Amino acid sequence: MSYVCLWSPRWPTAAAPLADLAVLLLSEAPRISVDVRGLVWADARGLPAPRTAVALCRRVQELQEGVDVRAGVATVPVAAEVAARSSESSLTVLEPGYERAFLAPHPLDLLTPDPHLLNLLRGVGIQTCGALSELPREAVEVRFGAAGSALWRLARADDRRLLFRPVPPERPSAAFEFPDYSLAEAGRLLFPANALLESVCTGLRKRGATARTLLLELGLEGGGAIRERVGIGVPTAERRLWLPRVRARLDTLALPDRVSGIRLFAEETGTAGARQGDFFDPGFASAAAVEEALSRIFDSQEAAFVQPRGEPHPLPEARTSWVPLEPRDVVEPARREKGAAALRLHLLPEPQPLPVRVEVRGGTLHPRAFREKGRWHELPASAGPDRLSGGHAVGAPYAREYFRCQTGDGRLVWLYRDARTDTWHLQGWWA
Amino acid sequence: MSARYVELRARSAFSFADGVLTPEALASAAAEREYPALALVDRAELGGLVRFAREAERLGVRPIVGAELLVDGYPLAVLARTQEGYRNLAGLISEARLSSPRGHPSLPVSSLLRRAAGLHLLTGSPTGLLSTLVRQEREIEARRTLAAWKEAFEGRVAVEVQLHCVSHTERLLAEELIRLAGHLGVPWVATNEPRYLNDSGRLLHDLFTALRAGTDIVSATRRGLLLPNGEWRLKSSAEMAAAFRDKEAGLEESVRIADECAFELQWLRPPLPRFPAGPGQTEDGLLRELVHAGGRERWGKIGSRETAQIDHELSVIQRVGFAGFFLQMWDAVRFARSRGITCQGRGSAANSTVAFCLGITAVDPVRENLLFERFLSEARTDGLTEAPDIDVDFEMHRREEVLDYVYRRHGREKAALTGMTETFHAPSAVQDLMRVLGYPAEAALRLSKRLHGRTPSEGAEIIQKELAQSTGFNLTEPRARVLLSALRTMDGLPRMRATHPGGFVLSSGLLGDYLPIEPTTMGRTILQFDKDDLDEIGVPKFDFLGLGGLTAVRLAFDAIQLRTGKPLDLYRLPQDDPETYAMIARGDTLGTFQIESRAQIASLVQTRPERLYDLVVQVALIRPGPIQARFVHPYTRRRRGLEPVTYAHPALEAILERTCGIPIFQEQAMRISMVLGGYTAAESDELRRAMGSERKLPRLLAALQALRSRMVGRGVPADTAEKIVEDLRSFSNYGFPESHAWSFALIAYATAWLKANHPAEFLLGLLNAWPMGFYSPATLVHDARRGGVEVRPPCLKVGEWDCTLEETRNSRTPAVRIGWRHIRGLGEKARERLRQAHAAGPFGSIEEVVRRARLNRDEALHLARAGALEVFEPGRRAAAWEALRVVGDTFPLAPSRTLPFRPQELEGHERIFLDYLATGISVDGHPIQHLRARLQSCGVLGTAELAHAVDGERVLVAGLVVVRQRPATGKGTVFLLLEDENGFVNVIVPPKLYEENRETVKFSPFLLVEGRFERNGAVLNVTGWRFRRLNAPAPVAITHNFH
Repeated sequence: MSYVCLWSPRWPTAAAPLADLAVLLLSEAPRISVDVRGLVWADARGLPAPRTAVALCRRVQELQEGVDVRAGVATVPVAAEVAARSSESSLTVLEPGYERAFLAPHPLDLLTPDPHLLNLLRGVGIQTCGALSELPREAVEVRFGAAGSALWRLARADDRRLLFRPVPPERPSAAFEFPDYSLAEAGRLLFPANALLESVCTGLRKRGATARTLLLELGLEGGGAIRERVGIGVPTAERRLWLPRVRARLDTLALPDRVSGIRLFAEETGTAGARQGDFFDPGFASAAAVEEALSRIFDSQEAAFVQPRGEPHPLPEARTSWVPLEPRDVVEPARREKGAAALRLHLLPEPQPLPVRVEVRGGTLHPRAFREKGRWHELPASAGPDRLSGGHAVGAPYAREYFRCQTGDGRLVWLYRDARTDTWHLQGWWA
Repeated sequence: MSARYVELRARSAFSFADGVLTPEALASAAAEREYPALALVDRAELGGLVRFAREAERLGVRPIVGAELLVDGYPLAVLARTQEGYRNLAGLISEARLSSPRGHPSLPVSSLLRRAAGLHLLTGSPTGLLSTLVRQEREIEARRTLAAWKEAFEGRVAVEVQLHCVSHTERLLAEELIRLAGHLGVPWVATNEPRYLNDSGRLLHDLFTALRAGTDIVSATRRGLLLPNGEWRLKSSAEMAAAFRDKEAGLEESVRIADECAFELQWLRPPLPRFPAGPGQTEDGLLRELVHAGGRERWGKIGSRETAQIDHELSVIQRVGFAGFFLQMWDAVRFARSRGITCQGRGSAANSTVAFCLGITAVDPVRENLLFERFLSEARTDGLTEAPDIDVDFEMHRREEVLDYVYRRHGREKAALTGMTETFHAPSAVQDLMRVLGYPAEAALRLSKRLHGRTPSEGAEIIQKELAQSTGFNLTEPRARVLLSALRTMDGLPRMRATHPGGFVLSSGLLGDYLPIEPTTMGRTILQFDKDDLDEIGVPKFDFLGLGGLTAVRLAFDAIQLRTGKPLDLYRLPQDDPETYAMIARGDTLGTFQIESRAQIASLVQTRPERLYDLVVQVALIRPGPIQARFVHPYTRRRRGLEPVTYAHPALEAILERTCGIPIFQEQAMRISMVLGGYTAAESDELRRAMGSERKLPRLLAALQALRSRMVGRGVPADTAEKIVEDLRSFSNYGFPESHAWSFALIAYATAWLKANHPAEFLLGLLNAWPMGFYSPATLVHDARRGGVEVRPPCLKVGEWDCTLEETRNSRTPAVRIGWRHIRGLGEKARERLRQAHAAGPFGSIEEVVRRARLNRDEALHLARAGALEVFEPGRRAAAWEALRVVGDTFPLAPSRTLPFRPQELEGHERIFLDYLATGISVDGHPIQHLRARLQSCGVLGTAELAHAVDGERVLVAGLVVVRQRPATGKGTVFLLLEDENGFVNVIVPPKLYEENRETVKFSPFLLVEGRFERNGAVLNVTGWRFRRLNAPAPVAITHNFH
């Protein structure tokens, strides 16, 4: 259960330049990783660690002639790292159980802590791993925060970092080869495909997973393979739901050669969830189901209930913002304001551009008529302009001239001229 | 064509962040729009008035003065119609400012109605009381309010109507206000309340609005804080006529009101303070009596020359009515002396024999042949010209006592300090704007710290051309474009008002009725006008300045007296001490007053002063004027005998003899004009005053041209006259008055004498008077240690708050113990607690220190870090742990009695750097020391080895950068002073190399320089070629940057 840490004073303190080396070292250890600080890690767990370390060092020297590489071997990564970086000899092997004692006399900067934290610790006279590890954890945590606590653990040879990425679990798959014969018709593949489906779906269910896409791979006798994807709308691990789709695909498949084997992968997988139903279906909407459905809505959309809030933003369309509400507050219906105006302004979601005929009144350009849905509406009366401009400071300039207009049939509409583009827009109406 | 409209509510940038036009720009815009008059109406503020009135009058626009006042929470405006009205206006502003929380001036309506005489009331914008009542349909109250105003102001009221094309409601409000005015028979007037001129001004106003609200521009937009459109600009009459179509009466009323409002700058001048002369005695009589008594004290017997001069001065003083002025200053000096506060007059007052006899100044003008007219001439008191100033320096630390005395003597209503208008500079503008535009503070700091000494528009250019690339500032962002655009419009805009270092204005009347007064955060009161404004309108100032140099001298004298029993006096030191002059000639003047800068030291070793007058010249020589005029080198060569002393005209010999034929002093310029141009004393003073500053350049050029003509007319050859005029031209950048140089030279000599004869006491004085001077305490301590002074670290057992002297084995050379005052992190409260605890008895342990002084955890740790507790517990870290224990640190890391480990003690260089961090002073060595071996192996020379280097040789030098200078006279050259463990070396960075290495040169605490060694006499310089930052732990804030 040991880790091997390789370090060389000549290596750069970066991961990228060592990436190529790491690939080549895979011949000596099953898993190799590179640290951003210029360290190479080998997973020697289950292997004779010292021998692996020697082999790794030799390999490095073969690949990088003359490089002075040092290896530290320990069951705790930080101990292996300090052994590699601090020792003068090319190989240092630590006995299990003695890692903390080994670290104690070493200076803290070998643990590469944050410089600020290191300064703080130095300021109170704590310079070695041993001095830090002697202190109570609570004290360190209170004084030096999470970073101090993490460093304290390292100083005590308590290193829980994952040096090697976990291997992703294999996706369920199943294969069948025809060693003695081959098939020329795709339809005859259905039987083995069904058996493979059973196997893949069982694998999916064991993992609590579902599949959205299966990959059907047909090995050809003359070499090569045909790959076909079979998808389904609702991810599932039910064989009976997959089989018709696989059959339909096989029925339409034209084979260029005889098939010598078949393989099935679950390509896109997901977690199996609750059954989807209609929220408003009385049969479906039990209290538990409603609660579950709402929970899912809140989880996925966060603010499911909102209410409008007016703000004094100069632009009418930006005056309303939507404020999230707690579900418990939704039961309170919004109160109507007393004495609200008889006519309310209704804003279009977006100002609507439209053609306008204009005339000069009192030295100012006023709208005379506007066209909406193919019809011109005369505007016998208009008041304005009310000028609104700004937004330069936030990189979204606007300049508008607003007019309150009355149409020939008595409607009150709110038009504006965009002074920057000289175009007219309908902002809303009163009703 | 008769005017159709006058804007009665124009707002300047003196409405601080609610206006973006300088007073001059406002006046100029009014002239462009052909306004016959314009009213400046800032928010409870008249600070822009003098500048506005001057410029408006120059452009033919009649200035009207008013202010917007917040009365019972609602804004309204008042305009001054008469002198009485102006007094009421100023008085109301003063009352609002002094009776309200700072920054929120407001008044009760009763105050307004009580002081309505001579004022014209405008009822306020749509947020005013009347508009609010109308909008809320409270018509009866609105009528009652307007009627009350009409009665109190005897009809001088106009209902203010504004149309900014904002909304239908605004138009309805306007209609209602006009109807209301008509109903009560009150005229209504159209106003527009302009804050800017155009779109770029509006953009800046939006940013300022957000700044004022303490938010960013996005939030300000969302919260509707910004003005909704660009109609709040200074409009032309035609634009206003279009807005008020069919409502011309309001426009005509604006013209009528403007015609009825008068204003004169003379109204601002308060009556001079009177001095209680006693029964049957006049101020002039008392002054004469005191002068003669003082003369007898100064000279023993007053000779005929002295008598003639005294009589001449007293007669001028009597004619211009300034006897009270002199008596007030005498009174302040008398008070200071009675309290043992060292003081000395400086500036042109030292030209006055009366001031000398009164004990205000220390230089005998008769003996030194100083020109009285440089100080006071009759031509200057015509009511609008510059008034004489008497500047008196007091010990920095005790100046407050004098200010308190002046307030007590005159009353707060008759005395106030001069204000200082601080304008936006590139760093402050960038910081403010970037904050408003939502940039992170680090990004703003990254840019602003590279724009030191630049105007906002220069800053915009530098950001665009250089900094954007070097700092990664994205210029393509919209907000970056906004930033640059706004910066380009901010030159000269006032940012805030500060307090002048000591300029008092005193009056026999209520000062606030002439010059509005406001409170400061320090509890003082300041005027809304700055020094230049007061000079412009002829208001005399009494300058009570604090001078660290005087404090240092006083403290050193006290220490010497305490140790030796020998009292010393600034003016009774031996003036010919060879040790002192030898030290000065060596350039060993670090820490001395006025002659300690790199340029001064370089000059001293060339000119080798031998007598006091040489120091007088020296003080005046290393100044922008003589340097730019290229007088320094000719003077130096002549002084060293390398060049013959010649005179452009034989008559100049008598005037310029003492300065080797080179004009250095303002008095010399005046005498030249009198002797060669036939000027009267008053005329020559007019010429001198034109030399005041770069701002007066056009005036100076005209004056010099006139002088040239006069000289040629009196037979001076044209080319000689031309050369003389060219020499005098250099004074536009401030040449020193000889009298001022004399005053400073006396203190310079005293500090040099102390350094040469009592170096420990000298260091003690400097450290206890710090902050002052050119160098950090660290540099002063290193210099003193090199001079043999033993410096000991701060100690809670044997030390005190201030630095103290301690005995050494050599009874003649005491050691200096660094005082606790230099320990960083100890505030005023800790100081007081430590002082009280120490007064009760010496400390015996860390526990005693902490308990008796009630120190908190941080304070105790600051003491430990500085090594002040080491006397009780060896090792700073161990002392820190013990201090923590005693403090009762509740965290578990605090030990009960024993530590779980033995803290490792600091090593040599660690101690040095910790010293710098904790106190800024290291008594254990220099930070460069521990790098020496490494530097030596690379061939880097120390300052000691540099003395043996060959002129022109390539050298490598390294050190701590203690001074960076980029003087205006250097044309972009940067001068560095590097310090190492043995001394200093000057490094010259040529402009091109500075631009290429700006980051390294400007921001590296330690620098490695490769360059050419140059020896000029005793001056050692290295002209740098290559610059590299030395990697060493950075001490905190030990470099003085002068750019």
